[in-house]
Amino acid sequence: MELREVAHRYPAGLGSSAHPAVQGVSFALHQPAILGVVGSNGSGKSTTLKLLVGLYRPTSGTVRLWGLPSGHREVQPRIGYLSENPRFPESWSGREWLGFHAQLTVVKPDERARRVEETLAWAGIAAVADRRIRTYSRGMLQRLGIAVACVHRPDLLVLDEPTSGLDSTGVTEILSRLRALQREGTTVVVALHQASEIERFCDRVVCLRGGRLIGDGAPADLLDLSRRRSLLVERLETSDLDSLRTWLRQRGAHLVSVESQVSAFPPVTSGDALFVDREDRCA
Amino acid sequence: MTTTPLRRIAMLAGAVVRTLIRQRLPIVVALVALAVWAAVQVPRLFHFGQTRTAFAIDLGCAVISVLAGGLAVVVPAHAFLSELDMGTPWLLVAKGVRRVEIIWGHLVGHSLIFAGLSIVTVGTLWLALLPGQMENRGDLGMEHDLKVMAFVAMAGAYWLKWTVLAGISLAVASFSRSLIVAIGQGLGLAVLCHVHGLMDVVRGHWSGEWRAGVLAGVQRICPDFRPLDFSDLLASGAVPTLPTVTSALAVGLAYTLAMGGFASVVFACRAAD
Repeated sequence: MELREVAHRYPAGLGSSAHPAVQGVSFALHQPAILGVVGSNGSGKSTTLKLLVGLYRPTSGTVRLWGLPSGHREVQPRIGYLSENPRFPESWSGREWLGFHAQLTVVKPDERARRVEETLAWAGIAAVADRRIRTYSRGMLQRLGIAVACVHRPDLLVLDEPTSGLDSTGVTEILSRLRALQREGTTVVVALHQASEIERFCDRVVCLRGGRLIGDGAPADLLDLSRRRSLLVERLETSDLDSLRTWLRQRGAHLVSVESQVSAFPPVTSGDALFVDREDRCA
Repeated sequence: MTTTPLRRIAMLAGAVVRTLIRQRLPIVVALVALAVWAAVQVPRLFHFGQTRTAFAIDLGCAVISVLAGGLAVVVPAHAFLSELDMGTPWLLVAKGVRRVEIIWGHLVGHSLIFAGLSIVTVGTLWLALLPGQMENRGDLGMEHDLKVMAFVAMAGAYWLKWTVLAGISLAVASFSRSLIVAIGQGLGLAVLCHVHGLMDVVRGHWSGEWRAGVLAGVQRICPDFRPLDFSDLLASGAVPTLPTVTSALAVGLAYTLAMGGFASVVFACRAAD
């Protein structure tokens, strides 16, 4: 995978000018690994992922996968993609929808049925597979989306916020399963928000801000965890958060991120984890 | 991608049919059939005399044209824009399904649905007219058999017409971002396709003016549905000849291919959401 000086502008519409979403982004990945794409809202993460899977064409620069331009007919079947906030036809069951995608991409009917069952179990939705999708919770929809992206065993898996809507157990479960896929040779590119997930899960991180690449390296280096402290706070309210920000500012530090779902962390005492840094870091 | 394009189009068409059936489209089709049956009863209730069968055919065909023709524009636009809203086409494109296959999958799926719609509506018209014909003729002879063939030809013509309308609707939906706009434009084009005769007359009155040129341009762009209209022929008691049917088939298929191709080109130019 290689992105070279990639830029993408959303075209001008009526009453709006062209909006540059990504500018001069370059990075390459030559071995199967888990690559995290991180950055705040509007930093260009989703646009970068769509450029990778060939849904967007770069305004300038090149995106190449296995030596071919993204969107090439031979490249696309090797990609699995999960969009942000996936939605599916509500009148179908999860098994039918997954079966439909397997049918489009897997040729042998006997293999198809086995693959669907395996993927349903892998994604943890086998028990609800025959229910109509309209009855699914947000987390189940997310798991189904990941299953649809994985059902044809792609070589490159591109997931836009796969842990969104999942509980802490679900996050750990899905991330460990994606790690297992990577060990089998799949490259996983994933947009994540939570600093703890990036730290635990990614082999490498590219960090975007305002559509520009501002960092590329190992999570520990990029997130500068040595200079970062986590505070555990019990029952954190919004008003408490404001007080905490003031308290930190008085001491020359500031709040980088707030993470709930404490059960994802080893039990220390109690409360939510707050990552604090003296400088404005990308996380 | 291990499957062939034609097989993928068939799968996508099957998915469209399955979704529409589960969204209770058959209930809407049943309501249209009920409206056709009710329209045929009007001449009977009000005793329009010997011409009542012709009048009933006219009325029934008008109800089919308006209601089912409306469905032929609204249903594809709604189905396609709903899928775009969910992001399904982009998910398929990311997996290597081509945009042209997605459009043709939709067109074939809707065409199958409209085949059912034409059978149900024209069948209802036939069944609703049957008692009147028996009253008029006394027995069911050769003429009756020929009429059956005429109704079959009309059902086929309606099916082709609605498939072309589905193509127009998909072309409009392919670039539209709003369901209301897509349906409005689709219905406008559907009306234009039906008024070529009227446009000829108006164009004659405007001879030499710039408006006549504009109208001629509109006529060239919009499909001409006159070869697909058998209702007058049927109301007059005649039967479509083989050349008429062949010409209708050729026109319908040519327009379907043109509209499907146009929709594919338009969708290929659309940026992913």
